[in-house]
Formats: sequence, structure tokens, C-alpha cells
Amino acid sequence: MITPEIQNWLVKPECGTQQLISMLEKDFQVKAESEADLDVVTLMDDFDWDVWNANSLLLRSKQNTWKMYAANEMAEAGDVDAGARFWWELPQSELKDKLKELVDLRAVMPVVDVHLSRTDLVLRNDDDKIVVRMVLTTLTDIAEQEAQRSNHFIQIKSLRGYLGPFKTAIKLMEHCLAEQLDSLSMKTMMQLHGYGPVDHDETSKNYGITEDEAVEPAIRQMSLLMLQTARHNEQGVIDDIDTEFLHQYRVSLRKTRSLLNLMKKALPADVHLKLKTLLAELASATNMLRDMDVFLLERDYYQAMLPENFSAGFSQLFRMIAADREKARKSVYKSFKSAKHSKTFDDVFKLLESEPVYASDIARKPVLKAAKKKILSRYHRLSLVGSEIHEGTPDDDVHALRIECKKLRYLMEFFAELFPKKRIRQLIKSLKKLQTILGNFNDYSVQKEFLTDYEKNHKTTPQLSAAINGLIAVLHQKQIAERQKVQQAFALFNDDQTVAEFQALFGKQKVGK
Amino acid sequence: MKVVSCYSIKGGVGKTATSVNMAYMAAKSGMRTLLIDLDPQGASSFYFRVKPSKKQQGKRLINASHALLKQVKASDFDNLDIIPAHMSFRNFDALLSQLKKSNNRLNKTFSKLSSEYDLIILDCPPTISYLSEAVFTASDVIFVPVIPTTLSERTYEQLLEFFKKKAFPKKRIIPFFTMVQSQKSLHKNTMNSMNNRYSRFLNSTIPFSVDIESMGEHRAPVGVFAKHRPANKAYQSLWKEMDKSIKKAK
Repeated sequence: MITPEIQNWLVKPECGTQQLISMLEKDFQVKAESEADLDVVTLMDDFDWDVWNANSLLLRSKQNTWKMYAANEMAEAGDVDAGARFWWELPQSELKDKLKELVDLRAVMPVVDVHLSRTDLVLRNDDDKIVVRMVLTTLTDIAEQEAQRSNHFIQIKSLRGYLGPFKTAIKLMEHCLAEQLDSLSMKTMMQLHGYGPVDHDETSKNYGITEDEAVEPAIRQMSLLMLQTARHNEQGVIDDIDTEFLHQYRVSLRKTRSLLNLMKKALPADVHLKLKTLLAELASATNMLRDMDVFLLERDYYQAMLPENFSAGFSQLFRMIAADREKARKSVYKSFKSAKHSKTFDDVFKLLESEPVYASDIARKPVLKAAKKKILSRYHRLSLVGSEIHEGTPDDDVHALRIECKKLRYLMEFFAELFPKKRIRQLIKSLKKLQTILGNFNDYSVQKEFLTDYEKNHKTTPQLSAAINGLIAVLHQKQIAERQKVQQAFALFNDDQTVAEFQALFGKQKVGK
Repeated sequence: MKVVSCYSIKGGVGKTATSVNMAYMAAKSGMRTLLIDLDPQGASSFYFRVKPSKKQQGKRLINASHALLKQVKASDFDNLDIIPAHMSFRNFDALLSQLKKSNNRLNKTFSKLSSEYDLIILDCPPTISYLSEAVFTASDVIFVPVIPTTLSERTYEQLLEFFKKKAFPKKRIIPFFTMVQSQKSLHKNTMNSMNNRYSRFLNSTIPFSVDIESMGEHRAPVGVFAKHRPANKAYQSLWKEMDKSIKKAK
């Protein structure tokens, strides 16, 4: 069957259902059928609006049914726990899988409540034949204020062989139709009604620096942006919504410290030193909590490493860590709410917002020139370290390579907006591949260490010790396997093409697109 | 895509009621269905409240398939479209008689529709003509309603002889009893004897019913206004058997 012609319209705010019906009754018999109950739905999303940004919409009804709308599809999960916020708390369903993809570790929270109602309008001709079908959808705010905004949307469908009546119906309503829409997805309607993410600068990866800007003001600006992001994540940590808030808080602090270190001499020495100290203080208050979070998140990963008969010891281990986590969380909560914490941030911002001093040559240099030089020299260092690694070299050299990669990657990401997008993205992509292997290798080290220390610092039972040591043994094997991949991964990364490209992008000459 | 027709040499045997209710049920079962009303009396179109477009009246159907497609109208029901009766279909068989290959013409038209529909139902006029022959050739199954009386038995035999003469495959014909009044011994005896002589009669029968007669008042299939009553149940049971034979055909 040929798809009927469909038109979607936003209705003018002054027009309501009754008005539209009386306009249509001039030429048609109109019958309106509304959905029995006015449905109140809650729009849900995570802190980063990941669902919305993926062109989907997550709505929760009062009956605890969750619906995810995307393009023309809708996935549903019923009987969801009232307090559910994470994908793993949902019943087995397509929605659960979709949500996992979109938000991963983040919690989805209620954003806004809205009334959704739907009226089906059927238009008949003099023979009592249905000639046009319409659906009128209304979105109404549920707010405490008396003035409740409503928006009406109408979808008009022609029936095959009845194009004339379709056109007539639209003509009859024309004074009520505000704007024609390409589609009438839930998201379009929500957007037109005024819902959606507020533009956060942090959602774009740009720092707003320009090529010719001097290094010192550029670095100050970049740092301020990153620290504002850190501040924005604090409430989420205080409310303990999900583990990503703390992670993003720490990443922002770490990146700022990294930037200041990599671009040493951008700021005057005393300023740099003060900032270093203050930022280290801010970060260290959260170390314990993050370690615990990381370990707890990986529960399934660890459980899969041990045979069944270790399960009692394993459970004991996790119970203890969960209790430690709660202690750590309380301490971070106190710390974030303290006057000292606010003062520290105030001092940091004051230092960064003060006028540039240009205490060194680098501070005055155009930032693009300075960035290119730094990146190229870091790359050369990395090449040197990496090319010396083979089966026999000590593990410490592998860790050193990992650090070099991290520094190079940070530099490239910090200044990415100054370079041709595709080309720098490609380089970062290949670097990431190498980093993944080095990262795994390091993770195993870190995890082994964590467990070893844990055993030392806690009273254990034989069962618990067995579980811990079992895990350490498995991790050790994995680490060895990963170590063997390093040499090849480095060669893959640092092929002739890559060498040439680094020279081309970051060498002294002007860069083409 | 399958093409089925509802045919009878005699009028007034419930042919149109069958076409309409069959179309309704096919659409409901999920098949994209097109009902083509070839009967100039236009009863099935009337039941679906559809009139042909004024523009096409009086014009000769030179390009039959093009003209046909332009005539398609959506019914009030999902999955069901109608090509309403058209006065110049009266000329349709005259047109076809001009062409030696008249039977293939209808086939060509239908193959164009196969991407859009799963089932085409032809409601035929009660005649034997070039149009009917074209319909017989194009149909995978031909449903023939028979009132269980002696006269109907004769009429049925005439149809079989016609098929024999024209070398049309008889197995396409699937008869069923309609307007049955089971208290009448004539009806009972005729059904017995015809069932014995011809194995092809469907098991389900359609009773004589006030509901079916009032389709004209409601202008709708019985499933719409008398869903839980015996006539509709009978059509449902008939449709089940028809569905099976449609799927089996060819």
C-alpha cells in the first residue's frame, strides 16, 4: 500500500481542540476520541543528557513503565522499581540494553514532569466514509505556577484516494496552524515545548583558544574551564547519584595539573607552585573513595576470575570494601561541604583569574607555535622510549612508555582545536590503541597492588586470604600476557605514516588541511 | 500475492456479502487487501461507503492498469483498500473482447499490484462474459456461493461444464453453501447430495441471517456491528477455511 501523505503541524497557542473541531465541521463530520486518562510522564536523562544527545527520549509513567523513544521505534519496560536509576536495575528488556549503550555508568534522573494527552480525530464525508484521520497531541507542563503552558501538535494523515478532503481539512485549519514540522517525534515535541539540555560549554571539547593568542592567557582560560567542570560535578558527588560525578571531578583536576606541568613556565613559578599544591589537596581528599568505587564497579570482572569454591571469601571481600566505601563517601561529603573546600577553590580561581604576568618567553609565545613544539618534542621522546622496549626490558620501562603516551595524548587533546580536525583525530585514535594495551598492563599492576595492600591492612580469614591471593594470581597471568603485546603494538603505532604525519602536523612549517 | 474471486452465475446468492466480509477478515488478519468491485451494481462499494471518483466516469479505460490504480481508495479499516465499481467497467469486457489476448491483460495489471497487496479480491458480476473469463484466468481461487436448492445444483453443474469447455482448471473452484436454512429438509438433503457428489465444498456454511441482510443499513461488514452473533461466527469459520485454500493454491 502506498504510504499516505502525512503532515505534521505545531498548532498556534491560542487554538485548542474545540476550535479546530469547529473549523473542520464546516465540511466534515468530526468525531473525537481521547485517551481515557491524562498521562503524566517524567522525562529522564543522565547528567550529560546522553539519551537526548543520542536523539532518544526516556519517559517514565506513574505506573513505573519506562519507554524509550528513538526515531520511529519505541522500547518499553514495565514494572520497574520506583527508585531505579541505573540500567542494571531494569528488568530484562530491549530498553535495558539500549539504556546501557547510552548512559553506561551514569544514573538517569527525573528532569521534568509533563502531561501528555492524545486525541484521535476522525473526519467523515456525506456518505459517512472516513476520509481523513488526525492525531492531536498535547504537552502540558506540570509546574507549581498557575500558568501551565500547553502545546498542541497535530498529525494529519490522508487516506488513499482521498487527497482532496486531506487538502480541504488543512485549508480549513490554516489559521490555527503555526509551523509545519518534518517529523513529530516525541523529541521534536519536547524540544518545541522548551525542554532540552542547557548549552554547557563543557559538552563541547573546545577551550575557545586561538592560534595567535599568547600562551599564558590561553592556559589560564583552559584551566578555568576545566575547574568549572570540576565544580559542576560536586553536587552529584554530594548526592551520591553515580560514580561518574567523582570521576569527572578528578579527571578535571588531573587534566588541569597536567596542563600546568606540560606547559611549565606558562604561568609564573610561584603561581604554578601554589596551584599545584592546592589542586593536589583537592584531589587527594577523594583518592580513597575513587579507589573503592573502581573496585566495586568491577565486581563481575573479578568474580569471573575465581572458581566457585572461592565465592564465600569473595563475597566477604566485597562486603568489607563496600563498608569502606561508605566510610570514604562520608568523608568526601564532609570535605566537599566544608568551608575549607570552598576557600581552596576560591583561591585557585583567584590565582587563575589574575592578570597575565608574562614572566617567561614561553608565556608570550603564540600558543599554536608553542603547542606544536611541545607536542613534537614529546613525540620524539615517546619514540625513543618505545623503540627500546623488547621482551627483556624491565616492566618499569613499559610504565614509562605509558606515561609518555599519556602526556602526548593530553597535549594533543588540549590543543586539538588548533589543528585540522580529521588529521589530529586520526593520530589520537592510533595513540589510543597503544594506550589501551599499556593501560591494561598498568591496571593489572594497580589491581594487584590494591589487593596486596588490602590484605596487609585488614584482618583476614583463611577464606578471605585465599580469595585475595587467587585474584592476584590470575591478575599476574593477565599482566604477563599483556606485556607480550606491547612491542608489536608500539610498532603498529609508530609506522612510517605516523612518523611522517607527526612531522607534518607539528613541525615548523605551516600546516595544510 | 494471491488473487481470489467471488463468483456466481446467479444473483442474490450472497456473493457480495461474502466478498465484503472476506475482505474485512483478510485485512484484520494482517493481509494487505484490495477489493475490486467489478459489479456495475456496485454493492460492495456501497457497503464500504466508497464512491468512484467523478473524474473517471465516462472515460474509456484505455490504459486499464493506470486507470485502476488511480481509482484505489482506502476503506475505513486498516489494511483494506477498495477499487469501487465504475460505470465504464461495464465497457470493460467489451474492451477486452477486442483483444485476442484479453485474458493476459488482467494478469499484467495484477502483477503491478503485487508489491502493494497480499490479497486481491474480485467481486464479480453475475454473468458469463469475457470479463468473467478474464477473472477466471487471473484467479488463484474462485469461491462460489451456492444456495442448497435443486436449481442451484443445476447452476453449479453449468459452471463446471463451462470450465470443462474452456479448459480452465476446475480445482480453482471452491464452492460453499450460503443462505442456509437448516430447518428446511430441501436444504439439508441438497447439502448431503452435493457433498457426496463434489468433494470440494467447504465445511463451513453461511446461514440465512437478518444480520447479513442488514449490512445495507449499517453499510459495514457484519464484524463491525454484529461481532458476537452467529452470522459473523459463521463468516469467521468460513474465512479460516478460505485462508487455508488461498495459501495452498498454485
